[in-house]
Amino acid sequence: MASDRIHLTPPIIDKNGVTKWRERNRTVNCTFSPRANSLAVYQSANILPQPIGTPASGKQETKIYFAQWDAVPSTRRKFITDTSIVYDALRRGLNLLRAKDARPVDPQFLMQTHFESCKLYLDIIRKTLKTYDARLEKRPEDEELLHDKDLLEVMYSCMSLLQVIFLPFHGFLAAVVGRELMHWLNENYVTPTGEDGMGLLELEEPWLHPTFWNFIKTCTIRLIFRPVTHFLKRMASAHTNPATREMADLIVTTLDQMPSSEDYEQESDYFDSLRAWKTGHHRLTRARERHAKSLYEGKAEMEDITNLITGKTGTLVRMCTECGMSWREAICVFGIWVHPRMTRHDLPSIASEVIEEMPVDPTDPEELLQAALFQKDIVKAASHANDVDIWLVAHMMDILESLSLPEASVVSRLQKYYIITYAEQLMSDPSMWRIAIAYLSYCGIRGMGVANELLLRLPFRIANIDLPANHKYPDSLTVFVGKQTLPMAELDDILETCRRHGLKQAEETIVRVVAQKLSALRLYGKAIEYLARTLDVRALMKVLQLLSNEYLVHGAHDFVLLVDQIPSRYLYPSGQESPDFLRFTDHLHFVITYAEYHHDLSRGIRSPSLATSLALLLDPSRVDAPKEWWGLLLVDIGDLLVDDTLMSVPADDMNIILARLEEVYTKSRLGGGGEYLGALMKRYEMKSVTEALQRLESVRFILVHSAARSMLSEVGGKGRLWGGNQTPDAD
Amino acid sequence: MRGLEVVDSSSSRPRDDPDKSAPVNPRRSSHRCCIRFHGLRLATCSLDQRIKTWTLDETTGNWASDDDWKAHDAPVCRLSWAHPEYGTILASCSFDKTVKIWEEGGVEPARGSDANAGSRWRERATLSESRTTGASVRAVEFAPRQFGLKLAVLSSDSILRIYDCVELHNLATWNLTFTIDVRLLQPPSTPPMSTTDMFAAPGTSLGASSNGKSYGSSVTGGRPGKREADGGWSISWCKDATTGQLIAVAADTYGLVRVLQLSDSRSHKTVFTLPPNASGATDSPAITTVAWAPLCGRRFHLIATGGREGKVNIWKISPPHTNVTTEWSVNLAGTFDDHQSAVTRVEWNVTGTILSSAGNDGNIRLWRSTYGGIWRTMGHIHTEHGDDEEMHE
Repeated sequence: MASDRIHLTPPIIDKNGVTKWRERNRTVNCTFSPRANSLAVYQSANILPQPIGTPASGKQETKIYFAQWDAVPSTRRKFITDTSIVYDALRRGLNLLRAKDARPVDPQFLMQTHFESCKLYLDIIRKTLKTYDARLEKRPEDEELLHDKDLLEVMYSCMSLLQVIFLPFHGFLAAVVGRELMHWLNENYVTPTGEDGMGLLELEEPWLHPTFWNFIKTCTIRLIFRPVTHFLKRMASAHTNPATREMADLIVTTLDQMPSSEDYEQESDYFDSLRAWKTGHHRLTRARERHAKSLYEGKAEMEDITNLITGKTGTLVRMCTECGMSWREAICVFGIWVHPRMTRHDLPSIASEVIEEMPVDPTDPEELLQAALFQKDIVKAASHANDVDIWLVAHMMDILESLSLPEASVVSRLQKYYIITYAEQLMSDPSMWRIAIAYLSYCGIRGMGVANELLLRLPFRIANIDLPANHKYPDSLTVFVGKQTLPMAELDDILETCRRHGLKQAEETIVRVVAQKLSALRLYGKAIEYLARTLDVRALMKVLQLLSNEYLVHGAHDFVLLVDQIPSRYLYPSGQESPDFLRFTDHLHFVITYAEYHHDLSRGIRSPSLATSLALLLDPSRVDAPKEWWGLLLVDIGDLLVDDTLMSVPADDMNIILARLEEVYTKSRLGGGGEYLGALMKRYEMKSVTEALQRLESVRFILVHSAARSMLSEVGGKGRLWGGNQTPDAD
Repeated sequence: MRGLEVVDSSSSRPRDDPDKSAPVNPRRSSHRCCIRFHGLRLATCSLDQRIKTWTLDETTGNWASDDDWKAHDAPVCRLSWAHPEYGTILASCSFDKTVKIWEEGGVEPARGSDANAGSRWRERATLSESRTTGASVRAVEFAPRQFGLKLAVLSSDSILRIYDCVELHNLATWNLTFTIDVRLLQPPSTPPMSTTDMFAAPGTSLGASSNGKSYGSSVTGGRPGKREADGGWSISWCKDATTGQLIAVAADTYGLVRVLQLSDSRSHKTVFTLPPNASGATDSPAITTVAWAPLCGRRFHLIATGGREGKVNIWKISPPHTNVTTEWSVNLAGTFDDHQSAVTRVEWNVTGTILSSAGNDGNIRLWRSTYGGIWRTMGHIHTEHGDDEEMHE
């Protein structure tokens, strides 16, 4: 069972051994985990010089303990899910009503709507309690379940009290509230029990039983008139004392005639009946005065009941105390017996008056919370509800916030604070992340900030990924591919949630992490697909850089296969992309063109278009390859031309190539080698810029040679830049 | 529904090991433990110069060790995981005066290192600038991802160094962009102490390591050097990018935390300091630990500090409003001396709503703010043997 104070088992420190433990230069340390509200606790060495000479042998290690805070009981899962749906519906509706262009909402309509939401919460609690009962029949000693059942019962009573006080089903706060409070009391705190009455029924003269009058008084106070009138009628007919008979008979008559506010459409009609009923009390009071000096069976009790009927406050408080009732019952019956016109507006002052006479148990959070609700002290109520259960306080404050009370700004802050706390608690069960985010999404900037962080920390699973054969996961627990172990969040679900709630920053960061993982798995195509969704050009460029690097490290074969994974649609921008995104498509063009070049080469194709395609990559007006690659591209062109002496390139392309060569050569000699020769040096594992420049020298020779060949060809009148056997021998 | 419970304990020893009182060799004990971004991986470093990584099997709830290698030539002091956007990267710092960058998987380096042969972890870079001043490295922390792959390093001579990774696909390339002597930022009220007694590693005999190199000569007869005993070294980045690159630094024996702002033009300034207490007196014992809370939509920052005097302080910091004031507002939101002995660590949870503190009293305390902004204890983990009925498995 969770507690705010725990001892580790086995303990790190022996009993009363802190001083010795400290002298051995030990301390404890802890580290939070982003997963499931947990933290690691472990012993560590204090950063102080140690005694010399401790041998470094052995393989013993200290334990690392994992503790969890705010754990959600496993039994609550369904309850949490069901109530989250109600919360979401309530908030959605409210957002629509509060939309800028919406008309002001009728408070009565608002109250009735929220009454229904509250009713749904109560139905869910009731259903959950039923399932608990069914489970407890099978496992009666399940402590967690028993504890949670107790909590849910408290939550039910408090939530239903909030409904009675703040959400009248008819929408009128100024209406009389006595009967509604009475129903709440009788539903949640059943007393006396049916068994008490059954026991008395079996007796011939039940009034002689010691519990008889306590039973009668309790039933009377709580408006349970049926057993009262039954027993008093028996008394009126069977008792030997005429005074007892008369008093019992008059009480029965008076109670039978008592009007109920629920029987009237109009309050004024109820008040008329009430006035008439009170006028009829004179028979009862006269009889009491007549028999005041005589002794008869049940005299004191029937006088008390008479005083109660006539609305004596002192008698009510005393009777409640004598019958073992608390301040709670006293407040609820106050609106029946003493102040039948009591409305919700009168409750705080009446509650304070009663509580002064009958104090609240300061150790019972349920009592404290209900007292605060009766007094309409929302801040106090929030604090006490929080002591009961975080679900309760979060949802209570949420309902109150939606009502636009006079304390709206305070309630709004309370609602946000407790909803955020509740959502954070839900994360102790990581499978509830969707619910947690839904709650946070209605909590303004702060809620979105927390949601953002929680989403970022969710481990995810990527569906439909084909892994390279025999691949070993570099970080198998951060990205699950294919194999599923726990219900880990699906990446697409997380991203969809980010989009739905406008959490752009979280989406972008998650996609970047995904791209990193996929790139590590050499799944560059998939990485680009994800990054293109967020138009994250910086990250896209990084993937292309890694992909290009594949050629430099692993050669053309792997490079061509990897580039082939990239969907070609990214080469054809729709025209709506930002200029920044076009930077990516340009670079992608380079990568794909270069891969196609190597693909053709591997298939043994030797055509002038190969050299032209490389020349294209060196032309800034067409596809501008990164400068770092220029040296390598020049060498490739050189290799192409030297391999096939029959090959030549168009003069325009040759001019570009030669211009690039000069630029690379000159700037590299002036110290810009890294800028132009990086790819070349890496591809051929060259140790120095000088080595790379020597290679470019040979390229220059080949190019000049080829250019001369082309010119000769043109002089020959063929008008062709490329000709098979017509090309004159360069020698 | 709320409260604390121990959910698991992991160790290389069998769970049912009856020898609970077996002496634990301090040179073998986990010195620091660092959990990765998603909470499914864990790295521990120890005084035996090794780093060990673990993964969580969520089906069983068990952590299993997946790698273990000798990382340094002296005890390893701290670890820090880089943001997963940059890969599976770990930085470690040590009393051997170096910081090392490790990457899991990837290409084998050209020069193979025998130290972690067989490990999936590759040593990508060794940052050894601290060797020039002969100081051990006491704290290391990767910057928030928005600032790039950047590393802050604090050594025992109170020099803060900031390194930038130049090429993200090449972890061997790190530029030293800042070298800041924290002691010079604001003249301390106490005279600087001799630096000769401060650089030794715990658990080393006169600074001698397994490879015979010296790590300093501070420890004589096993008595702690004064600065070692009285000082503290800790850093923490501000996780929010909107206020620029901010880092809180506690160094040496001064009871101050300095918050520095670093600019892209390689200049820096002290934007504010956290005094050791509300009265602002600076002659207090050293701050041993500092932690900057994630902002998560809050309008103010929270920084927690822990000191040798046993106090945990929580500071509420508000950035300047450009049209009202240019000064940061610093207020003490809570101060607690429950540990009654030196506080070794303070740390925030990922949303900055719960603070943990660990102390030499052997206890862990958790703190949470109430609705009204009052910080209160929300949990207490006793590591001392308790009464049987109170103990939880």
